[in-house]
Amino acid sequence: MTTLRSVPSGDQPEGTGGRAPAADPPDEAGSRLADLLRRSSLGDEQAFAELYDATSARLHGLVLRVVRNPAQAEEVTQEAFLEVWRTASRFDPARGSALSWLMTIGHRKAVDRVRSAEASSRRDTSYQQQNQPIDHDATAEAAHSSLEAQRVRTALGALTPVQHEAVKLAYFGGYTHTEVATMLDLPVGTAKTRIRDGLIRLRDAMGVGQ
Amino acid sequence: MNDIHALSGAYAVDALSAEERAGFEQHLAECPACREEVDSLREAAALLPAITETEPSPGVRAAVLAGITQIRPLPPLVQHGPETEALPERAGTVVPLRRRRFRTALVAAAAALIVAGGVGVGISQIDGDADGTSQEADPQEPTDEPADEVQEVLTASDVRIVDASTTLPEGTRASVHWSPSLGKAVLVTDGMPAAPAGKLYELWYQDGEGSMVRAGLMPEGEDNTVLLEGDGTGAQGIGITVEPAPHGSEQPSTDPVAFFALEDA
Repeated sequence: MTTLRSVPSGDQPEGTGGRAPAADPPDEAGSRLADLLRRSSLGDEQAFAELYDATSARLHGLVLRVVRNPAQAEEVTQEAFLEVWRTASRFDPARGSALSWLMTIGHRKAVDRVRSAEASSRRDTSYQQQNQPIDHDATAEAAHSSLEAQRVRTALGALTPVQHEAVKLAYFGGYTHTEVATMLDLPVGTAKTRIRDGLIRLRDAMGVGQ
Repeated sequence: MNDIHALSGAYAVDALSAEERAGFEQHLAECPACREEVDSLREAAALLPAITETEPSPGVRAAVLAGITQIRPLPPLVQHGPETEALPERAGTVVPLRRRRFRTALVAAAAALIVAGGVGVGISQIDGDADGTSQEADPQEPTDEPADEVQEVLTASDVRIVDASTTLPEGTRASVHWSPSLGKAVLVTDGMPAAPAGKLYELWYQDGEGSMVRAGLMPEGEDNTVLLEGDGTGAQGIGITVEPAPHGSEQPSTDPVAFFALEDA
């Protein structure tokens, strides 16, 4: 009984370090992730742990940004990684990178979470947090100054302001294109075009997905 | 027609309503250009989280790595061939090549079949169509295989993972995998200290009225994966208490050592 009652402090040490995903050149890192994913699909738990260490900050940061509530975001991150493990065999390298496949799963889970929370309960305590005014991310972005992050910001700078806003509200805000249209005061049906055009410009600037 | 192509970007970033998403996925089956565009736009969108990187707490890592030991990786989708159609009844009107493209919809469908197969229900229903009813074909009858039920919960499409709100001793990890649609929960512990001599851990559902309902006893051992007994439909929470061995109590006699709030039940 006594052991059970002894309650440690809630603070936990930071991660074990050495998990920076961008340490390798992009292509090498990309094929390493694809290999880890392939081995995970064969049930290799060690490979999956490496995959987690290489990608969890990326995926969790995305989920946290969409979900906002840190405790809920950690649940969603956990669910997303279990989904990655379960469905690793469905990753098709011919269709895209492993990182993109992971982010797609994480993003979908995060968006499903915020939308189902909105639909099921307006009284949910997390509601207010999810619906805080879209206070843009200057601080969050400033904190990330990796080379890759700088390239992404540069590429985002090539978007028109409306494209930029539409992409961010859709991707980081988890809003539908019709919601984005209303938020940006665009004619209905225009936001989807802005989102698409913005992503195309981003894609071409970053030279991916060709 | 142009109009639906223009949804590719919104689809790539999950910015469609559920109805639009379903409609666009139908369109994707027939439009290789859109499939390629969606793939390439997802690739572009996936770069954006480079500017939001945030480490999750170490507990997430522990829970994920504990969780995967309980989840069977799906097999690959069987490559189509002239005589090896994997699911003829279901896929009869779908051109096999397209199946790989329909990632979300068909993976979900395949997963559902595999999960159902695991509990011996879905497959026997399909067999029943072809061969008459088999012995275990009654889908109402709970199966006598907890391992498969555990798997069913862990892989349920609506499964939520809930960590204990009460802090357990350092090095202990306990989380509940909760499926509201099944009304079932699985408790996973990692490094749980033994109950005091003559005691054990008892599990409880907190029902919609707030009453605690017995949900079984936890086996001995630090690392356990336990399916809670009984019907958890509508449960608000799950608790673990220390009770007298070997039978536990009818009602909790101590405060919970861990409690899991099922907020969205």
